[in-house]
Amino acid sequence: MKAQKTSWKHIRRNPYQALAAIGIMSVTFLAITIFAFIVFGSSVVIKHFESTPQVTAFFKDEAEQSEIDALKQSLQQTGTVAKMRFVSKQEALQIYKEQNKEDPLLLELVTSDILPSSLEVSTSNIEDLNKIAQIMRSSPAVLEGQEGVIYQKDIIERLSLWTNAIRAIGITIIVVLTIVSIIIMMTIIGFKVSQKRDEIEIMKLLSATNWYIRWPFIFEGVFYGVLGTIIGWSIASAGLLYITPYLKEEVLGTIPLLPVSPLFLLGLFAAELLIAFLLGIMASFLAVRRYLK
Amino acid sequence: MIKLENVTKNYLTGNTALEDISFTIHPGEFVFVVGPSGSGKTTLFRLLIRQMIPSSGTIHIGNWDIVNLPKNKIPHLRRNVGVVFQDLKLLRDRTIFENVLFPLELGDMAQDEATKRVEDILQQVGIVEHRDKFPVQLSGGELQRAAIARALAFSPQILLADEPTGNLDNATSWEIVKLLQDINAAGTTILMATHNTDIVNSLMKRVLTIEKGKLVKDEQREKKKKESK
Repeated sequence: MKAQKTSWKHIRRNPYQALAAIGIMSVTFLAITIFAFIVFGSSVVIKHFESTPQVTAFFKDEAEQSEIDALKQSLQQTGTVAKMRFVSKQEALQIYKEQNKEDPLLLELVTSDILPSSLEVSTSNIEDLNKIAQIMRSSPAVLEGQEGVIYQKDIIERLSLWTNAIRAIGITIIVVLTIVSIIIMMTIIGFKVSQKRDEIEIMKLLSATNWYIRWPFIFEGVFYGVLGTIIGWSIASAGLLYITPYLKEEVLGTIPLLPVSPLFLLGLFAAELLIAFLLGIMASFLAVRRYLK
Repeated sequence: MIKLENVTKNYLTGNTALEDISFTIHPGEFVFVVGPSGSGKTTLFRLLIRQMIPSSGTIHIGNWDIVNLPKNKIPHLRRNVGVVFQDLKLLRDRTIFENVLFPLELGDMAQDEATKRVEDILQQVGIVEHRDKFPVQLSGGELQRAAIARALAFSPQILLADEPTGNLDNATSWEIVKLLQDINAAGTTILMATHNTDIVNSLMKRVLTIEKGKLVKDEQREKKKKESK
């Protein structure tokens, strides 16, 4: 309690230094929160694409049911199929109607006869798509040419590439910001400690333990970290909530990413608070250390 | 009891601050440490509170082996050995009351008890009316009293006073010495470094004379006075 009072006094007496420390911590945690959103979002997007049918084979109108069954069987035998779904001509029409319900003219032009039945197959591993596609192409029931078998391997591969790049950049920025914020916190708290050098010496001569001297500075570091987290996280979360309707309508479409679960946001906040605690403690501890030798 | 045996302190610069010092001070004694500036008086006090350790020799205070005292025991030592520093070392941004209370805050004393204790000490040293003033608002003599009050906070068995009359006029110096005598009369061992020969000669106490780091004389003037009668 006494240490908290002392650290509060330190903060009130040097408000600009406190503002600088809170500012840098806020920026750090704003960046951490934003990149956490991006990393989490890109993982959901990738998962979405991976879980949607990845290879679709369209059947000839004259395809025999036995040929289709044989294809299904040989695909199952590969052991790589995660999900397999046969879409009949009627079902294809329903899907088409659903997708074009706002355009009655298109609906009038199409009947189930001109839409091919199809087989949608997803795999657990993107690498298995090629094999599945080859087996499909070799089936006599499947339409010949490029349009007979379509798959999203390229899209997912490119998406994975981007996601990994964003993740790497994000982690690099977070690490750099964290190191910079530790150094800035150390400098600010170190400056305060050096201003109190005489007082610290007197404290020691009057039987103060090192921890008695250290605690107020540690509380101060933790205070900057925690306040920085609250500000950074709040700005990022409010921003995300604000742009959620736009992202949902214009960017994500059917990808089930938004709105982000409040549990995720709270979990992220708790994790950031923990990081802030450790950051504050570490920076203060290092700043005070040289004066307590 | 304070017991030094063959204590030598060499600084890294090569200077020898104290050389082969040995003496014993018994509980309840009032001892002056005299000698010219730079003779090693302050170094001696620093050794006694483990602000530094000797290059060789042993120091014992009561049952404590000061040289081999673990770091975590140093605060305990300093609660039992009160010090009035030459430069006072009062905290400028705290009132006199807060300055005296400060050592007690470091201990485990309850707030009410600590407040009562500080009020008693301020009364004892005669500056209770200045309790809410800051050090900058006090005279030299009052500051010395405040420093003595702080040194007494833990009711130490030993009080080290490093030149407590250094910058004071004659009358104020005597007031301070009288105060130290009262404290000594209550049972506290006092070791006082001073240049003031008037005081040393008048009080007829035991005197340790240090010159160039060596203990050149250890005389019990009180006894001499009695012998001369």
